[in-house]
Amino acid sequence: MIIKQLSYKFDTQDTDYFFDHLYAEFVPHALNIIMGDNGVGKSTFFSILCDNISAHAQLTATLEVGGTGYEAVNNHMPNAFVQHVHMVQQQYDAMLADQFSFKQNLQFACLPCYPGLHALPQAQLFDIINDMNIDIDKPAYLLSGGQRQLLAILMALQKSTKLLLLDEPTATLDKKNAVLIMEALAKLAQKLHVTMLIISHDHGLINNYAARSFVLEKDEQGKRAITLVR
Amino acid sequence: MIDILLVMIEQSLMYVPLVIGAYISFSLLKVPDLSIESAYVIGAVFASQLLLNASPISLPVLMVMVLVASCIGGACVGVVSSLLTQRGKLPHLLSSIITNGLFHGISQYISPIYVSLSGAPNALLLFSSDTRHPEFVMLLLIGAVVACVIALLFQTQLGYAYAIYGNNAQFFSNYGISTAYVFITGIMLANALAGLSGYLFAQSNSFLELNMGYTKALLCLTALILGKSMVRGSTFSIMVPLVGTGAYFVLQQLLIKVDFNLKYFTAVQACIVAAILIYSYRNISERSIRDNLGV
Repeated sequence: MIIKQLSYKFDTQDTDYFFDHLYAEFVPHALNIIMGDNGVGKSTFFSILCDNISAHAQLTATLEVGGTGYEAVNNHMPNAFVQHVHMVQQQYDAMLADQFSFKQNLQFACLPCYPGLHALPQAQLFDIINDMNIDIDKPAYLLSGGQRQLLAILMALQKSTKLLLLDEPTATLDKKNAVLIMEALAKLAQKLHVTMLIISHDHGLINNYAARSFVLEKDEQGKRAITLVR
Repeated sequence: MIDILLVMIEQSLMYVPLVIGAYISFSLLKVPDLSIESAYVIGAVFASQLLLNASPISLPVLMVMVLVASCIGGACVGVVSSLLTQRGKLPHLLSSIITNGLFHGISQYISPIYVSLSGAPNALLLFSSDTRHPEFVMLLLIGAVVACVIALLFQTQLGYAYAIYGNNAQFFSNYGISTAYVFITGIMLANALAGLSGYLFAQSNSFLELNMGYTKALLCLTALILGKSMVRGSTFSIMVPLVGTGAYFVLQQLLIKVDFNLKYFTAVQACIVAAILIYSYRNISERSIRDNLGV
């Protein structure tokens, strides 16, 4: 996946661009870790990619994913691109229906835009669920933090996702669970052909699991750039 | 004894659609939808206007038309309150208070404060030649159909979507599902059922009063709290409103048996609701049970 050019202002009235001709090339079907200081714009970058931006924002972008080119239209990412992008936020609780089981949550993630009078759709049950010994009939509120995080990730992968954005997926987890999640992500990226961009500050995990790691930083003139670190 | 039992069941059947509607809005969507009180009256107003003004028509056709009219009346209230919440971005408590005021005025414009239905055709007497209790049979049939349809709805995507909304209202935006659609259809359905109940009450008692919706939200709360206390289970079920409504009228009949004056019954209901909720919130730490009891 190549971001050939991305320029973004929070408001058309702003004089300076927040991102000015940003360029980045990510490894497809693998984990790409993005680091950077707090407030530098990592979450904003993710919000732009999944088109979660204000109506007053100004955006131009040219991207290439799997040989297909996309261009921002009317200050928004094109629908054809956005429909394959999903984001798992740091506060992933908002993505779960706590009272329902692990399996039902996966099914809920497959619901259409206008739920109808049909039975719940079948969900994709991944091998990783067995590997982690998860009881899929257990209500989500009884799952551990790592299992809930994994559930949020698997829910995001239910709808033909090509690009998965993960905002600090291991921040609230202990070392053991963090390792399990990173292993699961690496396997899923390869198996499902999903490119994953992960915001993380955990250097140990980055060295072990990242296909490539980048840093988003701001120079003295305030211009932001995504630089390859490893 | 049989007579008391029949009265209890008949009253339960009249209110079952209302309590099922309240179950959808109060318990599944988890919103304080006071507009069911207006929907209850407007449903009865729409149906009674049709009964009083319709040209002579066969009873089965009239019955279908009247039932549909009462549901449409209730659904209109639901559309207004849910649009105020979803499009006007008002908290739903405010939306339902505003909607109550609006439809109180509209119902006064459409109908006198008291309307006798004794001169109008009774759409519930469809089986008058076949049975000794034709109205009871009709109420039983309507109650059974409503309960079966809603039980089936609870097995569908839409039924689950109502329960998901109450569990986590932000859920849908993460998966490209229309929150407004789920909310508006849920409130419309709840209010349509309240409208149907309003008509069944008015028809069974042969009169309509514009203040008959007063305290119906409390009736629903009491029935739902009783139902949730008696029906155990982690997921939603049609049995909660059904058992709750039955238990409510058993309780009412027991109080009559001990010579309790029913004009004070709302105070008893309020005490029951407050006591069970305070008990459950203070003493039950398990999240699922607390969520289930919360209305």
